[in-house]
Amino acid sequence: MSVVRAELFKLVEQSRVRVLVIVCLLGPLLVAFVLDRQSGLPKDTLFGRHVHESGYALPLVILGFAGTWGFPLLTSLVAGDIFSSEDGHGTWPALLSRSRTRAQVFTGKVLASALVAAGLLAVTAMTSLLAGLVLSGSTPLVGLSGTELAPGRAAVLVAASWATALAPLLGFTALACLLSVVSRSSVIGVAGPVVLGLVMQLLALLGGLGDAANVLLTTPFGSWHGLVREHPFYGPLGQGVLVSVVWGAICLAVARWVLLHRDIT
Amino acid sequence: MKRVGVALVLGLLTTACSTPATPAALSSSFAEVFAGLYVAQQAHLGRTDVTAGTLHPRSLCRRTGPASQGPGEDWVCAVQYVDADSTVTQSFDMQVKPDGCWRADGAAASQPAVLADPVSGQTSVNQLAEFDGCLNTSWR
Repeated sequence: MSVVRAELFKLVEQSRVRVLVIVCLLGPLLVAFVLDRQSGLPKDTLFGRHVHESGYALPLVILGFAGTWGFPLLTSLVAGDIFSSEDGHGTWPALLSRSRTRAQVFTGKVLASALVAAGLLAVTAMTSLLAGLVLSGSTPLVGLSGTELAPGRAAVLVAASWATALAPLLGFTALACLLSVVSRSSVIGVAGPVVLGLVMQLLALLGGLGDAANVLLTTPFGSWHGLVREHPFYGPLGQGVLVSVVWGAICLAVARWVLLHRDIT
Repeated sequence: MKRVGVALVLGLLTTACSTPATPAALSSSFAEVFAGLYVAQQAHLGRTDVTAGTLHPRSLCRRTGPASQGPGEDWVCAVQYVDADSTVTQSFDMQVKPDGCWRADGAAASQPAVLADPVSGQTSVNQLAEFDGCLNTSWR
């Protein structure tokens, strides 16, 4: 636990993470401000045509947008150099001499990254909902089954939709940790998951993968589509959680093995 | 280990050949969303007696290009419903995206972008002019 606390302290001390917090806090409000000033609508995005009708549409528009590249970037900036920075600064020997095993340090760093990433997701979700309500008020939302969802239910579904992004976000956190451990390079650790995320998006966009696209780590970011309806379907959500867990478990198992068997002198 | 690898590859190839965007799935999804929006549209115009149950909506979706299923911009959905004891048929251009979500565009003659209330004259956005839906993309 003390390792987690120490790593959390190191993370929140980074100016990069502080900038991320500010972006997550103010970004949705800025989007709302821009939309308020223009008559055009982001119609190509789900719920984009409803942003001036219901305050619950904007957080879903932002969620859809963030799922394409925002979430991989967010978690990469948090976890992408949490291991490689120790290589860069040559601090591994000092870190491991503090009566902590490598396994404890590994677990602490992974947990700290996951906690910060999840915290940023929660902050963005709340400010997105607030921005939507400020922009268009608490009016019913037309769901993806064509029926109106009452404000209370819409708010719950928006919160649930943002919660579905947690599993793939943590999957990308694990991927960032793996690249950070294996490459020992902060550039690869930070840029790698973003590039891989974009490649996965591109593969899915080509449309030739069919149902096989469901094994990509980016696909679960769209699992909320089944929730914002009169009668939700949960298949994509359950499948997305399973896919994210498998990706996360494989990435963390490989990263842990590499770190535990590395020659650090 | 080799068998597991072969099974994985075969599984991926099989799923790669299947797609959630089939005519049957799209027809069902489209009919549901159309009915919901039509009821809301009519309620907005003061006709609160119209319900999804009385509409009996049936739709038929197909691709106009060489492919018969999968994502694409060449989908067309025709919907038939009963309103005020008469059967009405309307057609919508459809765009099905690789993520399983779709967008329908109605013809301006049957679904204008703006609706005017016949009594008050107030105008509002017609939700049936353009609307979205999503298919269940999980493995079947």
